[in-house]
Amino acid sequence: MAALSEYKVEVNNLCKNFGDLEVLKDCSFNVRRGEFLCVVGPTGCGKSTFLNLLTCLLEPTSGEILVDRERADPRKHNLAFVFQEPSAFPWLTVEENIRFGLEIKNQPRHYIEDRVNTIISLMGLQNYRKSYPYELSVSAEQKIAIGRAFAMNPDLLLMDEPYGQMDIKMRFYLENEVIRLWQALGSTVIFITHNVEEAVYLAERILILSQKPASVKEIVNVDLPRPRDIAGDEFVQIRSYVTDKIRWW
Amino acid sequence: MDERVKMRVRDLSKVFFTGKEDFKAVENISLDVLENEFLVILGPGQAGKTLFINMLSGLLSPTTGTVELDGEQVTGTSLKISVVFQKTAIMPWKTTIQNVEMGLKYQGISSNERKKISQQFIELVGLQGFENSYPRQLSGGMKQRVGIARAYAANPEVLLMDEPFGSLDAQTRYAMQDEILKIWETNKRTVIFITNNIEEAVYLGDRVILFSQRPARVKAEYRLRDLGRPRNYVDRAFLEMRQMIEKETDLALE
Repeated sequence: MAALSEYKVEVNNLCKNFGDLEVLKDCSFNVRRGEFLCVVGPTGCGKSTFLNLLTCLLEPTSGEILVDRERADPRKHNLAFVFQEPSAFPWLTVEENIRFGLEIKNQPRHYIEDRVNTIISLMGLQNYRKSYPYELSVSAEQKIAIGRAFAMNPDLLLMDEPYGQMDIKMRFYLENEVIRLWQALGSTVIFITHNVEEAVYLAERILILSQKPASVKEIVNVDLPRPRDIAGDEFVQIRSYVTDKIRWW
Repeated sequence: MDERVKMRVRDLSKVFFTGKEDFKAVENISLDVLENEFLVILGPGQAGKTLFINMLSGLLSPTTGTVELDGEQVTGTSLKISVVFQKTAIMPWKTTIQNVEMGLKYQGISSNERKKISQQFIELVGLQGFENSYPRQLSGGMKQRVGIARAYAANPEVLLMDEPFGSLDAQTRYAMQDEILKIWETNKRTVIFITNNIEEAVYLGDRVILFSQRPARVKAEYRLRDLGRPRNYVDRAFLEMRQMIEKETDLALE
């Protein structure tokens, strides 16, 4: 592929109105190729609309989203999504879940095998290949959905607060895992969360949304070595800074 | 602070006898709860925390062991104990004020008196203006506040809160934590608060008792009065306490 832009995703002047209600107002930002971008915003800022636009489930009122300089099109681009609620297919085994998207896209057999094996070993799921989601815990079920999304080699992977309800030990464990997957596979990730600490732990950059109608308030660089120390001075400083930007309580 | 023991738990266990093997959910828990303290029970997911609190409230009978309230054994539900449930257990067909009044109604308190008491607690949780709204018209945080107002209105001596903020987003959760402390400080009661969130535990508790993963046992105890109040989530002492507790916490992977 020649002449790739530095940016994988470009969002230009995105607006969305529902009747008189302005939900998203003139949102512009870029996501670098292979970047891990976190998005935070105050509760009720229009986050779901933002996500639904990025996945092309909603048409914008005006503005555009480009993937590799072309209009984002789910038929052409791989836009993967990990939902808040664990969403592994209950009738498929762990392995079948991870193969699912690859088979739909008619990928060659040997490529599918390779890809599935890579994901399963990166996530340490070797002993659970033949297990069904109901035999596993909720956190393991969420892992399956995450593995399924990464398996697609997505152009853009959107994660909507996938660890919201988990205890912190589990969260750190899964956050480290998602970083490992991202580093090994080089995917471009947008990770949405309400949890500022989580954003600072994961992100290369944090995009802060404003109150409704949501627009980009600021983008903060997080240039800290990994694994990050949540009690480190710089970490706390960034966390406090971002928290103050979205504080409503 | 009064150091009188309000609740005394001794060797509390819960075992479910299934066909194949016995399923131990809670094992030999002993602890004292002091009068008017804010006690947090912290444990990983599926540790057996809810079973434990249900035995304290008398909703579930233990397999072995005892729970005493003011020196008397708890054998069933009691008017001295109110519970705020994990899933907002408010009645969808009743308005805010009707939900808050419910405990008082069963105590046989007159309609006028009920209204007065309920109104006071609705204001305390900041729901004035929503007295006549139905649960579906309220946000998640507001519904949880209805549950808290209802528990307080019944005028219990002990409040049991079972992960009341578990389903809220991180920011609403911070707001509710401040709210619950404000209510507790203006209306001192013995509170036993369950959570799986270490940050929340350190923010709220006078004392934190850490449970192991299933079967639930007492793994460690932390006294947090020295942290003072109000606490700051990013203070050094606060973060150090969090990390110390995190090290001790079991990772419930399977």
